[in-house]
Amino acid sequence: MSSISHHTISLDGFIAGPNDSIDWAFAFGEPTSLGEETMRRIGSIVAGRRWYELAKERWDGVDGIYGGEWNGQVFVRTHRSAEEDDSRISFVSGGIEEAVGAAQESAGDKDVGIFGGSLTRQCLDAGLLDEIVVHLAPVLLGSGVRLFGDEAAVQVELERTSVGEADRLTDLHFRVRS
Amino acid sequence: VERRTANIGAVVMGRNMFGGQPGPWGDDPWRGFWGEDPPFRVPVFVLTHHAREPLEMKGGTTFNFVTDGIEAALERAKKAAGEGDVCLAGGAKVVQQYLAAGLLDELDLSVVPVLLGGGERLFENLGAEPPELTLVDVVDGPGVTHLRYRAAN
Repeated sequence: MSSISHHTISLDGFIAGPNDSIDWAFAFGEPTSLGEETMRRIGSIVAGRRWYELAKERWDGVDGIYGGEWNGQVFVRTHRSAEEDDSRISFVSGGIEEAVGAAQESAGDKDVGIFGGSLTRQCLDAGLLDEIVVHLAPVLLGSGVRLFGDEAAVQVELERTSVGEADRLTDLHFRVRS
Repeated sequence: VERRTANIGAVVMGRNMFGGQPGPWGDDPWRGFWGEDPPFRVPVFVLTHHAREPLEMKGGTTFNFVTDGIEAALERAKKAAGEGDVCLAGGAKVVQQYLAAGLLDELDLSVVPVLLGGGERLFENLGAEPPELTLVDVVDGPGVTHLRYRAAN
């Protein structure tokens, strides 16, 4: 079982542009084969509070994930609990290990998707990330939310395991070297 | 990659890329990182605030020092390159200035599988409206991913 950070990113490394915009990410064609394969592998997702707020406000909550094609449990890491009617969302107030552990248990034989720049960074720092899947979009956003954060204490070695061209996106799959 | 470099007729680079300490050149000026026979073999235009006579090296490389800005340097490099392309050799700050000014036509990038966690970013200070890009080519090198983009200015 793997934990996979899965995002569409701009060439300058952002997963969201100014004002948390992600509309740009849909301007480069249909989901790619690597994207669909990754979606099928993911049994549950760990996301951050910021994702939760935005997903509720703008992206149809859980139904907005992978265009509604995906089913599973979403574990939202937060210190503040919220009123939530959707049973597909669980709040986790503990550390990153606890959140990923809960998602792994829920995913069964499948993998865990990691959504968000801050969570990707936390998983990397905690040695909890196995794979990075990015769909690299030919756009420079200039500012926004970076996939790999702004600064990090350690250098992380990766292995690029596949590269693919799909319409206007470049699919890149990396394995984190432990 | 070899195919990309074959048509280069001139090179533009920043002062840090050329090297030597910042500030005036001094009495025994720095002659670049590349020895007496640098690999460029074409005219090289170095952006600097400190004027200096052209420096002719072996093998066809001449370092020209340009003090009147990025547009003037590109102008001179284009003239020197004739039918050839002008290669912007960096560093990051110079690339950013040309990108922000809308003077860059193509971006050739090599993505190396490592997360550094800090350092100098290539894409920063791009201005309010970064140029639009079109993906032209992806080459799967050994471990390295070469990407080529065209910029619409």
